[in-house]
Amino acid sequence: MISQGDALTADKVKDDNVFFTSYKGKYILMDNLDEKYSLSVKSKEEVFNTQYVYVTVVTRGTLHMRISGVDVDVKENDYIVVMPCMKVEVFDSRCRFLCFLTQSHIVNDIYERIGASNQAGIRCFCFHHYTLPKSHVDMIISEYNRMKYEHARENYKRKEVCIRALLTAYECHMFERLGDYTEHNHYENTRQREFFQRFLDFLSLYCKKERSVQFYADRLKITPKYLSNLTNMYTGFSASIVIDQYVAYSIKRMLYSNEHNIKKVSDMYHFPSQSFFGRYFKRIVGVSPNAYIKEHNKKATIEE
Amino acid sequence: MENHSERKVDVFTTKGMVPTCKLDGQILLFDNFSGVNPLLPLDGTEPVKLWQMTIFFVEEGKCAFSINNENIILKQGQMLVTHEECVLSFRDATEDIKYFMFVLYPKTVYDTFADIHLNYNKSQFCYSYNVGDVKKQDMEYFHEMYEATKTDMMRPAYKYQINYARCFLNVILTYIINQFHQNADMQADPSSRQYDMFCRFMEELNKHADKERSVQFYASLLGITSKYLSYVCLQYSRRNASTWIDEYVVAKARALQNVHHYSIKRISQELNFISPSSFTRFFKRVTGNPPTKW
Repeated sequence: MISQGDALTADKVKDDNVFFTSYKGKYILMDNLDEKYSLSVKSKEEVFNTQYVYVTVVTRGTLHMRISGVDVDVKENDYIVVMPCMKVEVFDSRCRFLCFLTQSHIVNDIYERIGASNQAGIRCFCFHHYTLPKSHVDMIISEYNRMKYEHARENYKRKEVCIRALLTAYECHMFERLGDYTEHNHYENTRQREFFQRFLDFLSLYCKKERSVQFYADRLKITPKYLSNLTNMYTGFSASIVIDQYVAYSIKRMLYSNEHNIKKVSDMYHFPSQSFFGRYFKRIVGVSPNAYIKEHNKKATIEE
Repeated sequence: MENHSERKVDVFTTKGMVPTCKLDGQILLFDNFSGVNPLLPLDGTEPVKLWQMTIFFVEEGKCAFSINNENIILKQGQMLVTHEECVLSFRDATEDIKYFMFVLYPKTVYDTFADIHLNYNKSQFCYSYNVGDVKKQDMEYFHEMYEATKTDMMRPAYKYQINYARCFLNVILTYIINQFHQNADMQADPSSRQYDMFCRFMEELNKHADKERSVQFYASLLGITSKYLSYVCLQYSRRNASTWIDEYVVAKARALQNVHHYSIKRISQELNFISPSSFTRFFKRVTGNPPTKW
């Protein structure tokens, strides 16, 4: 069973050597940019990230990470974004970094808002690693500091709207320049990788209808066992868990957007009954769909 | 009766004014950080009716405005927000004034309201303005955001430029709403039928306020009873339908007086009153003062 490492909460991540702030667990900021913090970053146990988009920028030194089995050295002026459904592990390293995590459906919402959803959507099970020009790193730092200030402001009505607005500002800049960055590719273009990519494509196409490993293996014309081997290699989980996680992720997104009620969503995903849907969701996410809506729905953003 | 049509004059691009920065038809920025005062051409001009929303921050110094025929003095650390249809003239400023200002065109205003999940309701805001103190750190925060917007707008155009500028406007607008419009109940569910009714009432009011002043008329336009209309209005604005109508007519009358300098007789004709004296009585009933006391 997957450890519900979603809660990248203070007690799990925090040590005294990092600045940490979180707004209702939806927006999390972490950094050690301030001179008073030492450069050394202690290793942290592996967390499985199911719902956050995880952005890290290193401004000095090198950060050693392992992301779902791939060792990554994030060097100076590097920018790394880890999508949901990946395992993240941090090793001892010396660097200055900033890091912010945002729930993935909020990021999706932002993409839609600024009309970039067709340029980029969030793809699970992957991460991107870029090297940025110094000027842009400075820009991200100023965007980050603004977010930090907003977090620290006293609570007021619609604070979340403001935090999201500042994040949107960052995304606007990011999108504009993303084409200019050099991306580091950590995966070799092998046949296995190709299969894995095709599996993810099929998954996004058919996740509403089919949730069996057999179906996807048949589509790819490979055995279920080989498929599980593949997913193990790239995500660290067996195929059935990957499928479940992806389905849960896409349901969460649906529930967030508030366009459909639970009954409709359960029908859309071809669940035999609503109660079965509720149990399925609870098994993977840990809370019932109803509780999830209450806490994370779009509407919850404005009602305070 | 003569049908007056109001011409939309964009004061911020005529009269030789050069904004510090602009996105055409969306946002204009003005500041005097560089020592040049871009608002100078406004000095001593006739009052003009704005159809944009303006947000004006005074960081240092003092200045004086006349808004809707009332004199306003803005001191250091204060902000002024004017909504559509305000009648404004710039009177005076001290030498050491340091200010920055956002001018938002209606589309931007609508979009920004939508961004923060509010429904912009023109009739709720038009012809109103607010002056308030801004805490020092908030002023610095806004200044920093203003600078960021400016820097971004100076750069060559790109796809998300307007979105970028609007992000900061979201923060500033949220501040304004929390500061000045706490009681304005705008958290309506746009999908609800009642809210739809309310919005349609506001639209009709905007169209017909110079002809019709009975709740019955608007209710029948919407195909509902007047009692229900009043209930809907109370739900969404804490004011009933007849209060809305009265206040709207008074606002129109004020605008006619301020912009066109019409006489009471002329105004009562424009607004379809039987006689000037009935207009005077109406006005006194709603505002408590006779119209001569403007």
